[in-house]
Amino acid sequence: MAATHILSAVPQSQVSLRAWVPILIGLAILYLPVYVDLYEVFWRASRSAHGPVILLMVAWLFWRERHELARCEARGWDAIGMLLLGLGLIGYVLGRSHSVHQLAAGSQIPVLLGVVRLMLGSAAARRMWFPIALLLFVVPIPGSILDQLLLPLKEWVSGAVDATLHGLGYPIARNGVLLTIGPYSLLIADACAGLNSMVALTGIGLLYVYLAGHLRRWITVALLISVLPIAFLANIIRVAALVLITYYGGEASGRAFHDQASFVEIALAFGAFFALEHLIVWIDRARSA
Amino acid sequence: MRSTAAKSYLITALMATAAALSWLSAPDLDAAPTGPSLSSIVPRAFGDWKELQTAVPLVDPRARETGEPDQQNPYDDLLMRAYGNGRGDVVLLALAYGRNQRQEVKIHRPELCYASQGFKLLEQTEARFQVPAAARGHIDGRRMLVTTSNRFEAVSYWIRIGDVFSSGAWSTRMHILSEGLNGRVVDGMLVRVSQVLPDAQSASPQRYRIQEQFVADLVNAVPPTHRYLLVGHAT
Repeated sequence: MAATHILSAVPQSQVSLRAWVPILIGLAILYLPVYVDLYEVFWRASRSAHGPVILLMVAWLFWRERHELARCEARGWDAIGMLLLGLGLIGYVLGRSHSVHQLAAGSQIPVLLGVVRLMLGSAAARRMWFPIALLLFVVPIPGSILDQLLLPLKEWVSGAVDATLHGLGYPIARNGVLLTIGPYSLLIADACAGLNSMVALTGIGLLYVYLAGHLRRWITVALLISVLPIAFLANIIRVAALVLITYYGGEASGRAFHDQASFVEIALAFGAFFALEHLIVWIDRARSA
Repeated sequence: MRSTAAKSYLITALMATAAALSWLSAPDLDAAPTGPSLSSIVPRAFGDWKELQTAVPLVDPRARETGEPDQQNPYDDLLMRAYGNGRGDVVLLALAYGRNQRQEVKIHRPELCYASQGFKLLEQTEARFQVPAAARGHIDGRRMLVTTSNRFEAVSYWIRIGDVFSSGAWSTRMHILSEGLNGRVVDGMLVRVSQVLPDAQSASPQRYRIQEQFVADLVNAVPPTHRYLLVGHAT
């Protein structure tokens, strides 16, 4: 269905879509098992929806450029493209055969860049650099690094939640990463203050800045600077909401919220970027007026 | 047009080759032998030590998140016991064994499993435990002191991955990968000994010497044919 749509919309297409069918099959053979593994090992355990969301967005960014891409064609065999594809596939084989998920997932970037260069040329590869680079945010952080970064992050998040709710007069106390509110104790586990979600939210923030496409450089810079603080803030709000829902509704409702929280977080972060962007644009207008 | 089609078929062929290679070169994870259960090789009494039926809660080496230890459980066998000696010392023992160690499915370092269960890490040092029954006579591991609201715990542990005593995540990773490239699946064992203390001052060198003596006796008490599970093979 999608295929006929492209063909009818762009009759002057140089590279026929038929040439892409084997490549898409090849990509599916390579990476569907990788995504099944990522789901089993990382996404399910941390109840995180961020990885799939980023993936959908990358697919959509490619889809959005389909007409432009259909006009590109590469002649001959591009050496850099071959090199990228070769290195990517070697990384893939090593990563897949020895369960180094980061290597397997990360190999998508050189493989895709290589394929785009070989099939569509270097101009197309330059055009698609951002969607391809965004795949970095699908690569899971290795457990050992994650654990080291996670501990201070968990402390900060639980500290901030404790200070805020205490300031609002709630009966809350904190011991390390253990929050006690009223009769309930909540352990801020890895997934709650998830660095995985921080990373994915950063990816979503970068995507927002990319899509907003401001011509004024200072607006872009201001938005970029705000990406990490907003991701952090979204995390704090999520944990605070979890604590309050448990306090008012009991443990069952807390758990129910916990399972849906990553969607809430994505929505929160997008809302914050949207608000901030409009605020900045408004300031910019007021200044120049 | 024709060259583009040819190119796409060649790229696809390369991809399919990579997929096939990754299948063929993967070590067979089920090839790792199943050994005897830990509880059958670790005696309930040895030297001056005897198992105690205590209510002292042991920090579970599995759990990283409350409520879902099973999904995250990387161990094939787990043994948790408390032992006491004639002088009234109580030592908690935790052994955790994984048949095949991989990137994300491997022994968790105790400093992380204590921390994720609400303990605070007060200090940790590298340590060389004198274990006469081990191939080299000693084993490299760590000591640490942790605390939670009303409990201090002095911990000694080592992690064996294959025949290497893991000191850092990176070297462990490279060892697993290089063994994997040679078609070998490595197993892993966490040996953890700890004592609950009333305060931080009690974490004296003598304490750690009791723990060191305990593990040395423990290794000695395990039948020689299965000792490698705890201390690795002679290399």
